[in-house]
Amino acid sequence: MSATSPLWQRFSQSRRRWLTALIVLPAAILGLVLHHFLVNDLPLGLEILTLTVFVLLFAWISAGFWTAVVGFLLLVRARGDTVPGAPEARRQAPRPGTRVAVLMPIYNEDVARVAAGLQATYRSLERAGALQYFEFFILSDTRDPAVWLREELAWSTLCQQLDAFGRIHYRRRPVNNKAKSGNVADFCRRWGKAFEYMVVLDADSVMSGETLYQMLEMMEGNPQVGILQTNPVAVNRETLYARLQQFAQQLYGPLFSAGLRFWQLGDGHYIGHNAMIRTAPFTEFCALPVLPGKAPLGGALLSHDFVEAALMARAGWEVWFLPELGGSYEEVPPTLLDDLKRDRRWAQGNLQHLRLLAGEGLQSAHRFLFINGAMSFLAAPLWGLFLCLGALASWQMWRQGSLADPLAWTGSGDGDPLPLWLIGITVLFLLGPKLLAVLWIAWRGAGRQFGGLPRLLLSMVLESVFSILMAPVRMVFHSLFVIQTLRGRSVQWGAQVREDAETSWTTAWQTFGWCTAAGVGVAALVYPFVGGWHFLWLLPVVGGLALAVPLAAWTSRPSWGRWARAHGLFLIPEEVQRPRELLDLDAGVAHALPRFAGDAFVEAVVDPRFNALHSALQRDRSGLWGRCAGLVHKALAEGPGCLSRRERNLILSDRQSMLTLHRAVWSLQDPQQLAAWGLGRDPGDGRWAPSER
Amino acid sequence: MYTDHWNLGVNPEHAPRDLAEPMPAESLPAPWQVLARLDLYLQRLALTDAQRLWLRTQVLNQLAQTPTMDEAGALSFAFAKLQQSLGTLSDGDELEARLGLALGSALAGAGELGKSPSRWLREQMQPPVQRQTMASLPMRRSWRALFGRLWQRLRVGQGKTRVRPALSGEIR
Repeated sequence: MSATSPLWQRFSQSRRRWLTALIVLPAAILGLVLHHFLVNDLPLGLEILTLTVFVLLFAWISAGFWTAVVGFLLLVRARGDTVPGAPEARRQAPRPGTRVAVLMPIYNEDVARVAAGLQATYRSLERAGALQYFEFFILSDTRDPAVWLREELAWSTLCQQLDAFGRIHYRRRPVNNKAKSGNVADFCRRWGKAFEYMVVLDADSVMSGETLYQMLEMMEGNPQVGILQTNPVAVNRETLYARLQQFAQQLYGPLFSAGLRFWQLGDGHYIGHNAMIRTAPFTEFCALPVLPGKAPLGGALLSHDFVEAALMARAGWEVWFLPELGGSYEEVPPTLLDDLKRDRRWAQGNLQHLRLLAGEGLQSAHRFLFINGAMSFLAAPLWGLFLCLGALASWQMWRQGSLADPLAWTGSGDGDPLPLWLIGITVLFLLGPKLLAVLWIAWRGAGRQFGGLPRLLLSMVLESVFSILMAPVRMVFHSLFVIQTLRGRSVQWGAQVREDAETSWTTAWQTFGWCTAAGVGVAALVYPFVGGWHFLWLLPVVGGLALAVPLAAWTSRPSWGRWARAHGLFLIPEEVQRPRELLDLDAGVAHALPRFAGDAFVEAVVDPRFNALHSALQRDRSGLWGRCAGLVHKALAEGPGCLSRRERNLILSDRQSMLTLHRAVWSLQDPQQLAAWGLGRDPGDGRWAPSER
Repeated sequence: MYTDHWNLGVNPEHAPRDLAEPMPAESLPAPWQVLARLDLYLQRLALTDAQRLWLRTQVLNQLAQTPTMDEAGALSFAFAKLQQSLGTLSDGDELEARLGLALGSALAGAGELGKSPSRWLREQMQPPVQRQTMASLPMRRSWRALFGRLWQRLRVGQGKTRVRPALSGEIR
């Protein structure tokens, strides 16, 4: 390997200098303007604090704005990024015998959806004629015995349906340390040697075979590339909230993605799924460091992906983001509540990353990504702080008599807390990317993919209204998350909600009631003092807070989402023209896997076929026999209901215990005991009640 | 008391009318309880009619040859004999037999390789392990060192270049 840097690095250095200038200069200039406005009226300490927070926030939004502007220009040019060394330019047919592992780490997921997603990807690869290179691994961290058993059944059924024994594998980790990253690392330790590449998916991911094959060609043609990250688009959700997210991501996403790729080049990011990874360097260099101290800011890293990309780049391997490669899908949380739950984990993970900022050998681009990720959450308390400082400054200026009567608006802007044009610039930086996105769609005549240009415009306006109203709710929750993390409250690893589950009014009140109360309270308190004009400025904030409960409840309704779809609102291209993979996914979800009518554990014990399947997949764990024998006796005497989840897991994980229990249950004589296992006469309903599949 | 109810015969068509009617299992005479249990078990296996009849016959023959036993003993004995007979469908191992019946033609590969169904299935579930380490390495995180490096770079005025170490698993 030559010691000279790759050609793209020269481009990236120059581009990042421009980005830095575009972020720093406007923020500095506007900071100076604000300084001139405030210098005579505020105490020095308050002014410095206000200016610092303003500059930080403005720099943060201008990074997004300029990324979108650059993305817009690139997309309008329609040539893509033609920088030398880009992996798209060098493809090579895979060598015979090349093996790619497609990993699907799961944790207490909806098994039918996981199986359908895997099946859709598998069939797509089959159609692309590339199946011979790929093998699938369902890597389960599931703790719930019922879900575990469903996974096993789904795996064997999938293998039978697709004739894929030996091509689709299933592993359940007995100990799920380090969550998803630990699961992937476990794969690398056991089987990484046998696979040159691995594709990491999420439980809700679907990828087209064509895309996977193209990525494989790029990996083969670019031996210096460590990670190729696709841009998964959000699809398939029905709730109004999720449809808003999908629409926003699909409409504005391409601009940001193209811009991001322009700045990053070979120092790209990795989002933990829908990416192809070179296994050997990943295994060698990407084991995650454990931070000193305890969670939430110490211990094992909760958010692994950015760090893995940084470690890969530190070792000299390139990480490329491929926004133009389609055929990569994911699903978003269905409700505001679920989205915030996910944000809670991400907040902790991203704040942990700040402790790696000084990590030796990291690329500056990845340090910036760490800051960027943390700022996604730190911006919220900063924004809240800025609002408070603004109110304090207004009060201070009014008290000194430098501010005109706050109840009267002169219209000239002289008597307002901030010059109107300064606010205009801020609004432009926030909403400009949205307008550019619509302009780009109109430019390329792709309005029909979003239901036509008039509906697209209406959808964009409505989406903006919703996002403005939800922004204060996010602000207060993100601020809470940051405060909780800094105060040492850690978050538990939980399964992500992936189905369209509504938020009930009770739940909405319990979770967001205090926001509504705060919004209404602040409005009632502030209005008499500031008057109509100034209150208008505060309305997006207090209005959003006051409406938190109804917003959370109404936007979680699938019926509202379906209504919007029926009226052509928030449509996305995948709904106008459904890709084959998503059609397969729909068919796969609809095509029922074998289901358990009752308790899955009982079925695994009683049903001779399922018992055989499950027992055959287990080892003889002689170390557990003593404990398991007691549990088997307990289960026979008191029925399966007496066993805890942990006890069930113990019995299920030992082959001999499962076989013994199967025989013993079928040999029971007592009708009550039999009924407990779904055999014999159920005392409750007085009829012969065999357990049925 | 386990008596000679077997003389009634095992074919439901020949059973007395009151026994041919659906009735709670536990009120059936002992052999019919055993039969009902056996049938329930056999229903859950994808057996051919011939296999089912053969298995039933095997169990009943064994039961007929045994001395008197109580009801619980009869159930256990019948089930044990059923499993033994099932085992004869697959080289004497009833688990393999049940697995074969569960997976059917999918197990053709196992037969060709001369492997038992359960071993074959485990191999399909997970390929052979090729163990290697992926140890978590500590990361040096000194701000002082970071600023030192930055200062050095600014002073020397060099762009940072990367030298990628050769990897054991690297593809050239």
